[in-house]
Formats: sequence, C-alpha cells, structure tokens
Amino acid sequence: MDKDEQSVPDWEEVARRYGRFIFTVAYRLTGNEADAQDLVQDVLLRVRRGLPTYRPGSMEGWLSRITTNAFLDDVRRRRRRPLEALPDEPDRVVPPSVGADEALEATALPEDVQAALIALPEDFRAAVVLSDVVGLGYAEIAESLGVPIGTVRSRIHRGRALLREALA
Amino acid sequence: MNHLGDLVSALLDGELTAGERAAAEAHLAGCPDCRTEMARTAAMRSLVRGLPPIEPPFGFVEGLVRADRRRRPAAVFAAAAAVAAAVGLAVTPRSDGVAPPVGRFVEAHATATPGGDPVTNLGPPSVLPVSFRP
Amino acid sequence: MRRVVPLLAVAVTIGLAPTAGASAGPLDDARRATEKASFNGSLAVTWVDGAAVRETVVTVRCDHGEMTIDGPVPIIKTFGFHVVRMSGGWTDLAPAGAIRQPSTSKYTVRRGDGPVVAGRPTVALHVFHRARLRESVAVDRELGVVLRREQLDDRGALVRRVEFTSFEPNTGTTRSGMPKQFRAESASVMGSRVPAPYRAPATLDGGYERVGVYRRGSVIQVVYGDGVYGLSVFEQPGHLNWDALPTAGRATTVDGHQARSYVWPGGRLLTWQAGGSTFTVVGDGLPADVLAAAASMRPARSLSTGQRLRQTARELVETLSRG
Repeated sequence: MDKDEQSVPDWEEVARRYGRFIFTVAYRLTGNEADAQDLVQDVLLRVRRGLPTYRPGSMEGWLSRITTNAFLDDVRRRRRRPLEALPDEPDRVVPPSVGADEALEATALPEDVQAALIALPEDFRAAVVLSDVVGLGYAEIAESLGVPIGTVRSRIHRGRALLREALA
Repeated sequence: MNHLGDLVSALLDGELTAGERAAAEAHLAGCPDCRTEMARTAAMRSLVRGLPPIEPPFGFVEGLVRADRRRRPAAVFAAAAAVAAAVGLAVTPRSDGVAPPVGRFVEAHATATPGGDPVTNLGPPSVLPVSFRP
Repeated sequence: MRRVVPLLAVAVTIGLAPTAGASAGPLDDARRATEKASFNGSLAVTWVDGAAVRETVVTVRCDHGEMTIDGPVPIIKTFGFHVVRMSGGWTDLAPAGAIRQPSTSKYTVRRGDGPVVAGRPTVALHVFHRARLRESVAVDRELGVVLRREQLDDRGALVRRVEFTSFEPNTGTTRSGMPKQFRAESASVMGSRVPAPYRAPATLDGGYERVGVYRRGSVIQVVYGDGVYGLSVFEQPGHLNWDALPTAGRATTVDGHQARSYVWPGGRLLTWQAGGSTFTVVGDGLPADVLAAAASMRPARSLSTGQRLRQTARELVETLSRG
C-alpha cells in the first residue's frame, strides 16, 4: 500500500494522481474517449461528495467501484429497462477447437480486445473489468456491484467465454 | 462430477476454498475438455490483463481541476445542463480528433531509440513531468 | 509479440553491424558496458528550454543488466523489459534495446584524454559533424560506462548535459526491483516496413535512416537513426485535436503546416497535422536537425514529380554511397 493512502487526500490530489487510472477504467467500460471523459467527470463529482466518508484503504478499489456504478447507472438511465439481457446461469464447456487459441493469442490486438469487451452485456463487462483491468478479488467485486459472490463468479467466467467467442 | 463450468475462472483467479480447489484439480486431471477450457480461459484472461493503461487527453484532468476552482455555481450549471439536454447537446465539450499522448511518445522513443547508452537515454524521460510545464 | 524482439535484434545486428571506423561503435560499446556494469550513482540532467536552463537530479542503480532510475517517473530497464511506473501500476514499454544505429559516415569520432567525472578518470569521445563538435562524451576508463554526455549547438553552446555527480561501482548483488506484475503496452514489431496507409519514408533529411517500425493500437512508430541520434515518427490517422495538447510549447511550422514544438529534457518534440493524419516527431538530435528531418517527412502523395525525382535520386545516392 502506498504511504499516501494512509490519510484522506483532497479532491484535487485524487483528480491529479488517479486521473489516469480512472480514465483507464472508464475507457475500458465505455470503449471510446468521449464517453470516458464524461464518465470521469461524473466520477470526480461523486468522489467529491464521497471523500468525507472515504476511509483510508485501497483508493483504486474505491475509485473503480464508483466508476463502475456511475457507468451502470448511466446505462440504466439511458435504457430505462433492466440490464439482465442474459440470465446468470452456469456455463457449459465450449467444444475445443484446435489451434484457435494460439492464433488468438498471437493476433488479438488491444483494440480487438476492447471491441470484444464493448460487445459484452454491461453487467458482465463490469465484472470482467473489475477483475482483470483493476485486479479486484471476487468479494470486493460482489460488494462493488451489490450481487452475491456466485453471481460474480458466473459473470466473470461467462464474460471471458463471450470475449473468446467474439475474438474467434 | 459435472464439468467445472465457471469454477474454471474461480480456480484461475485463486478464488476457491482449499476443498473446492482439490476437487477441481482432481476433476481436471481426468477431464481433457476441462483442461482445454482452462487453457482457453487463461489465454483470454491474460489478454484482458495485458491491456495497457489509457492516457487521458493532455490537459483533461487539469481542465477539470481548473473548472472546479472557478466554482461555477451549481444551480447555473444544472440549468445550463438541462437546457443543453433539451436541445440535444452534450453538456461537456467533446474533443474531436486525435490527441497525441506526447509524454508517452517521449517514453516510447527513449525505449526504442537506437544505440547510445541507456543511462543517458533513460535519464531524461525519467524527469519528464517537469519538462512540459509552461 | 515480445518473443519476436530477440529475432529482430539478431536480424538488425547482422544487417547493420557497424563496420570498422563507423561512428556508431563507441556509443554502442558504452551501451553494452552499461548493461554489464554494477553501480550506484546520482545523475544530473541539464537542458535548455528556450532561455531557461533546467536541471534535475535522479538516482541510478545498475545491477547486472537491471537498471533502475528513480526520478519523478521511475523506470526499470533490462534487456527485454522497460517498465515505467504509472498511476495504475507498472507498465512495460518493451521492446527495449532491440534496434541499433545504422552505420553512417555522418559523424566522425576522435578519442582523447577525458576529464575526471564524479572522481573517476575518463576517456573523451568527441563527435564531429562537418568539422563542428556536436557531442562530447566522457567514458569511464575502467568500466566503459558513459559518465558525462554533452550536446552542443552550432555555436558551441550547451543544449543538454547528462552527468554523474556521484558514481560508486559495486560488485554485490542487490535484490531485483523488477515488479512481479506489470501491464504490457503491446508494441508489435513490424520489421522495418511501414504498412499502408501509413506514410513514413525510408529516409529523412539529415541522413536519418529507418531502422524499425512498431505498432501500438492505431499508432505507428517509425524509428530512424543517423549514426548517433535517434528520431521517432508517430503517425495517427485523424485530425489533430489542438485543445488536447499540453499548454506549454511554441507555435511553429513544419513543411508549411501549423505545428507545436516542445522541449523535453532529451531533445525536441514536434506535432502537426497533414493530409488527414497527425504526426508527432520525437528526436534527441539537435533541434534544427529534428525540425529539418520532420519537414522532409512529406506524405508521398503530396510530392510533385520534381520532388519525387529528387527524393529518388537522393535515396539512390545514399544507397550507393552506403554499399
């Protein structure tokens, strides 16, 4: 843990120090710079309101939780319908295809992976981003998204399977 | 036992209890399908984990801080936002075009620079944040 | 993608191995010496930004090929990795050390006795271009590491200096500081061919030759060398968003296009827009040389027949004079 995380930083410090981190998470969630900028603005507003209640801990965990929730709130507002496009059901084993994965590893460029992320349902995308972009554990993700750990596990695994299909 | 399903990701992420993990590993030992699934999931996982950080447009964060310092009255801003939304405009100015991440380009240049000695090549980029100050 | 790098290094070494008397030799030797040496030191970086002279000190630790520079932007470099500490963690900006200077006859190098730097005797390497001293390098007599490097402009005034103010060789092994986890900023190595629709040519004015091409997302980085200095051309499809640039810097023109120019501690950066693409040139050579090289980077389709003939003739002459 950084020594700076021992005390509560002020808003400008958070903006300057973590701007790039928030922007990265926002970009991975939205897939384009303009929406990422809007999301970062929204996040920093929420950070200002939330800072007095922030307890020293993982600043990046806290910020990514705010970012993900701001993103999902916005998605819900725009859609005005529930997000659950895919039911959270156990995954099944995808039949293996010879050589496909080696090809995937060798050819997938970051922008291809990003495009596949954007093709994921938002709830799955949020779980994968919190796990593999931010590096949170399942318990923290469950707390951030307000869902049970079993749901997190399922969304992460199904999210990865869908990404693979999108890139195949 | 059924196939591992989403336990594969939990196993990769170190999110199984010792008992669950032992059972999953025992299943993997005898199930080529799950081993393939595991390898493919691991490949996908590392692709996402390998995504680079994204540089915000230069001046973006500074601009937010400056705008905040001006302490635009919240009510005025909200009213302006409502008007803008009503006529279908975005409230925040959107940047069009390419924003060259000049700091990152300097780092990338120093990394790839041919020949020379690494100390003098890398010393300058390591002092970078002070160099673009107005 | 990283596994391609050693192959490229081998290919380039074979293709562009410095010939006897080539000016690339001494600095290449210093690079290899630095990669083998173990030491702790303080490095003062001085550079001229307009009328202002700026200086910053960073500490450098090198231990059997792993070099750590602790400045405002910490950097750890090994042969294969080059990780930079960013707000979200460490990022690998590999490939490092994969490409080398071409052997050109642009510069001549004279050796002589060097000054004592950080209490250590040195050998001096004086790099001349057209009878003008461009660079003065002091190399540790015992270890071969560069202890001081000064770049001078046409009038002999200092452009920048990188100098050890303290230098302590050591033989003990310290623990590796290389982080166990870092993100990879995947740069794909594309040999030395520029894929369409990118347009960076094979050579630039001032004897710059293309030595490597990398791709990061939609950005192409084309690296050039002139025997001593390096220059990177970054090409991005799309118009330049001027508002997104840092506020420092000066307005200038590159080949008639409106441009912004920045000084960084190791050289100059220029960015401009031409033919629907955004170009950024980063060079560690003299500012005037970087500007001249940038101005010669005309998109091929905008060349007149006369210009094209002259360029072809120039490339032909350069190819023949190299052969």
